[in-house]
Amino acid sequence: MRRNPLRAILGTAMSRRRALQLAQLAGLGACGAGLGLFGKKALAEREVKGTCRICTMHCGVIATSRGSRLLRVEGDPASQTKGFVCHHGWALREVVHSHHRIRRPLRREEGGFREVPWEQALAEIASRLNQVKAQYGPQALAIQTGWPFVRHPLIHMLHRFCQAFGTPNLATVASQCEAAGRMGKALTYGSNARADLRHARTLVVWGANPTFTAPPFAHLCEAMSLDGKKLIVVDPIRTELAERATLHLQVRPGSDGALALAMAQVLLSLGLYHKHAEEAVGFEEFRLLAAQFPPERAAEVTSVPAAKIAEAARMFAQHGPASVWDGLGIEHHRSGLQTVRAVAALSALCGYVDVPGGAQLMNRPGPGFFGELLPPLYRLATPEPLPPKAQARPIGYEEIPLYEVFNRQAQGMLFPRAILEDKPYPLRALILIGSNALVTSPGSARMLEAAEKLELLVTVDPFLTASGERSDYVLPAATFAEAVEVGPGEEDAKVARSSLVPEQHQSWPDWKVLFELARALGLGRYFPWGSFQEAIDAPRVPFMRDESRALTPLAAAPGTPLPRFPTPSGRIELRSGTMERFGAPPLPEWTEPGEKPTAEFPFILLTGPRTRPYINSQFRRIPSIAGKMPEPLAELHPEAARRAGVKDGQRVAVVSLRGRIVLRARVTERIHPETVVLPAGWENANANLLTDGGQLDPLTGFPAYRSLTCRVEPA
Amino acid sequence: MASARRPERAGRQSALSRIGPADLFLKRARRYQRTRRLFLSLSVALVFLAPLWHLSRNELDSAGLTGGGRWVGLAARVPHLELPPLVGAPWTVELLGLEMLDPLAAAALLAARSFDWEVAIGVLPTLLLVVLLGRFFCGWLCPYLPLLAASNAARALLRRVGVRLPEVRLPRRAPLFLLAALLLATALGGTQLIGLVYPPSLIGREVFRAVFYGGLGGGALVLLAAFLFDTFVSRAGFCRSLCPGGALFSLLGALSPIRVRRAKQACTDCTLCDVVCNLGQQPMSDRLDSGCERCGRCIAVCPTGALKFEVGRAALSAGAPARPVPSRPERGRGAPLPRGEGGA
Amino acid sequence: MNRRGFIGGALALLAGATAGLKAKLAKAASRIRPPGAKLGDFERRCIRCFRCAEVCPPKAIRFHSGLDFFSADLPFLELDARGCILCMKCTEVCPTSALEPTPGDPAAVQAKVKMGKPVLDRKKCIPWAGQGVCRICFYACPYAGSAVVLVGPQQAPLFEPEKCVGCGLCEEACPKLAHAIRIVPPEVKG
Repeated sequence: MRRNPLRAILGTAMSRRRALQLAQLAGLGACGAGLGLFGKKALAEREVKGTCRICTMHCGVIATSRGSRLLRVEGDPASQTKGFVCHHGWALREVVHSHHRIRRPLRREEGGFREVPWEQALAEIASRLNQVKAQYGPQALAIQTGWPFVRHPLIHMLHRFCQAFGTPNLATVASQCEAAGRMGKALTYGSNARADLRHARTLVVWGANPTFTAPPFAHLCEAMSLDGKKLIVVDPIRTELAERATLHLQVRPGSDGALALAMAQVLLSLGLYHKHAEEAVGFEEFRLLAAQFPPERAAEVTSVPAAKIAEAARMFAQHGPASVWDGLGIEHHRSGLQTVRAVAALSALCGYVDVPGGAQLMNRPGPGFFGELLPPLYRLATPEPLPPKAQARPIGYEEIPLYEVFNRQAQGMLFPRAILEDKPYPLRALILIGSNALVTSPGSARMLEAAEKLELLVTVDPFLTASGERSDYVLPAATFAEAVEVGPGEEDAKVARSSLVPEQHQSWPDWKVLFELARALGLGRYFPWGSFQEAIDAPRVPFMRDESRALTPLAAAPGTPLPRFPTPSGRIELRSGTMERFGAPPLPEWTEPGEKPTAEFPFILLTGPRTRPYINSQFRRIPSIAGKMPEPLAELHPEAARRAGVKDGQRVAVVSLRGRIVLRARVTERIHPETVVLPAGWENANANLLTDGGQLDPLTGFPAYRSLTCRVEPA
Repeated sequence: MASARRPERAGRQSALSRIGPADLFLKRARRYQRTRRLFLSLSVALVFLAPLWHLSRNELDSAGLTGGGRWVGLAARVPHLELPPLVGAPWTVELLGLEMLDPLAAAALLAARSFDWEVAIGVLPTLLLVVLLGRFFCGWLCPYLPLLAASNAARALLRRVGVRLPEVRLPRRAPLFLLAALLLATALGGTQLIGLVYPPSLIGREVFRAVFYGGLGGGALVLLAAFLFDTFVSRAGFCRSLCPGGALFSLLGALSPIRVRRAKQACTDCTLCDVVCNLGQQPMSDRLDSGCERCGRCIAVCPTGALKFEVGRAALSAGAPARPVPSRPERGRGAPLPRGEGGA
Repeated sequence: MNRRGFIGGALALLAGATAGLKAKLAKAASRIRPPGAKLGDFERRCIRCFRCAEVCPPKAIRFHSGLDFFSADLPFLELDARGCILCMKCTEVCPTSALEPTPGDPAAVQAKVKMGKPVLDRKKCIPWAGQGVCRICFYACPYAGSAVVLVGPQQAPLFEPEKCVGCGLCEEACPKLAHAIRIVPPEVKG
């Protein structure tokens, strides 16, 4: 019998059961089709040019993304770094999409963190900040930042925020990084200076490891040993670069100042210095100072043979223009600033300052010169209303005036003291932005104690760091790849480009966190801008000078010739008038490290040299990076290992007066025989449990990370 | 249509009124089907779950290289296990640490002279099950069953709208010859071919493809061909006459002690059991061979509870009661639609 | 069309198809197999279960398409898209030892695994061509310093095929503009 097909399908003859079965089948089919369709990547790939801000090299990159997903990051051949990108930039896609990232603001409660909406988190933080302000005054808030603000116009906004709140206590990573080098050279030459790698005939790499810290330029250093050029490496560690060097001076950590003075003594006694050097301020006094360090005496202090010191000095003076690439290795000592100055004096003596192949002044007098010794770091964007100036003085203003004068910041290394001892006044609230200060500050134990005492600790970071875990609030920050890109020109840049990828989860870029927090605090009138782009496009005026502490006279009257060196005297200052003015020893004297090896602590403890995989405490949870170095290693010389009774690969305890950490040992001849080298930034074997937050360079407040003492024993 | 169904109902009711205690067994028989559907759902769920789980797990482990962002919550909510709870599905699966390999894969490896200890250990549990339970995999776990159900439903629909469907029967020994040919080709060709025509393996891969990469591969065409064959050429024809796995299980399970037994007194010769069987077994006339997949649908559908599973000395052997059987239900009558056909 | 023409045409078609299939098979054989695969033995053992791809964190394992007929669904690595991170999880889950179980520590991997060898096109390589510094292959390489070293003022890469396991992380990282590195199966002459 024929039936109407439609009726047959839809008619009553179809039982409920069969209808259900058909529905099931249809559902299954739909699921399959859905998977097939949505699984297909329908979105097109797009390429965005930008800058990798993972480290300070700021390599130009091209990012390929699809939708909100970053697929590849490659070097941009048209950029200043000519297409270079290292494994950090390459791993950016893993950083951006890591599931370890914080997705929403977190509030600490009994038994862990709870996710809260942004509005609630900001409102609560604001109310607690206002409480702190009412009880202790606005200066009880401090903000400490890491790298996100280095050479980025965002720093202006941060200054503005602090000013609006009324606190002078803004500390950046400059509190323990690079600033001492900048200050030392500025006090000597009048400006920060950098090596002229392309024209130098001799390069001295002093306490630096560009292979790891400046990879896009490392090949220029490494090529120095070719083509008849000379490369001198001064480092307690025989680095990869040292192996290519013409001369490697394996100096005892903390004695670099003595080595520099001994080299100066050789130059001066053999008459190898440039005749114009005599015009420098304090030349004669410096000669007398250097005379105290003949190579023979320096050899005892530095463990570098006298002949090698003399050879290095002669090579430096006689083999054409020489540049010095100095690094953190000479800054992290009790006499860090003076060591930088002593090293800078060598270039001054040989006339290598402001000549091709020598030290290049980075801020010379001229139209762009704002009457300060440093690059114009802190020009504020100042449309009305301008926040009032903070009443209180920043922490460190009294004890370490030089640091404050140069950087117009608080010295973050003094924050634990302010928190625990209320000196110079109580500090009760701390906001960490892109900083893992509880791990990366010297004397972590004390830092942790301080964190406990704080009434409010807020961390702004893409990841839940050790500091974040101890915070009251953790705010999810966007990585630089998600933030508006700021184009070449750095601090004074106006060019804003689109981000490499859209913001992930509910993370906000730093500017938005700042602006919205200000609004929650009722300070929104100082941040009238809707976006960062608007903010940096706003008109700006130079930073206002504090005349009582100004380092140079204002730009000379029109018509008068500008001095060659922008020091107060207009000449190179081997004897610094500025330092004298602020009560510091004016000559680059060398002082012994605060701790000397004893029977109990026979080794010199050197913490924190960069390793190739990591940058400080970052990337421990990024697979492709962590795979390259899964655990920290304490490195020591076979001789030292024999003395300590430990073997390669053994688990050892490294003990200092402050604490004890356990990690695996690597015995290698690369390390100075009296030294134990520890990498920094590991939460499970934190080298900063051994360092001392009290041992600071009295002139800069820089911690003595690299010349303390320790012992090693089998764990 | 309705007229075709009436006599069955009547028969069933009269049988129910006649036989009391069997009623209990009927309920149990229904429970078989519930359990079987549960197994089947779990099996199909695992086919989907394994790639979804790993997609999200990999997303966590690789920091976003996998692109499984949408599923990342799946693994993020479960603490990371050193041993993955589920790898692969369904023809080689590691479930909670227990490695299970399809005997067919093992046979093919044997043919390719690649059989080793690892394979032996993997195949041990499944081999044991097959020897004990015969071709049970086909009825209880095979992820092709939803497709077969769809094919049966399509057949029913087509027939209802008046399409005449052929019912081709391949020779009874065809699957064994096919299996032998495939194994020979594997042995000579030096590459494992069986996975290319074996539906459980194909389904596992195509689902994996769709979940991991989006889209389908060539295996989908083989599955489509099987589906079309089942729909337009022969009911469950692929399973019955082509599937190398079914052939191997029939062979290995020839001595299985579990079988369907009919109580002659209770049987009303209603033919429902013969009609419901996908694999052409005929419980009503005690003509069952090792091709029985132990799905128990005949038991569930029996109106009088005359059929039940029995554990006993193996009476079945591969092709023993090999009397060619006319496929009664599909012939002549205006396409009866007994309960059960169409369901898997 | 006469019979001769028909037969001739059919033969030509058959010959063409055979040639095409042969070319396909040859192309399939030139794929890089996942780590632990033994040359020649792999096809005999792989039952195409996809378990290796399932556990591969970077999703580096791909499969032959159905067009490769007998090689359909065999796993391979498309190294210019995604390199192998040498986690060795695939060898752990392989049910048939088609991928030989290998511990995941770098030394064991280097001793046992040989997926392919690198071939560098110096004309395309940025430092060899004198166009700048790149070094990304050096940074990407898990055996940097042994499998690849940098030479000369441009820090150009020099590969050591004996030490290379063929993971292809360098090929993946090699800038798309240059695309100078290619990993080829060990037996194929580069």
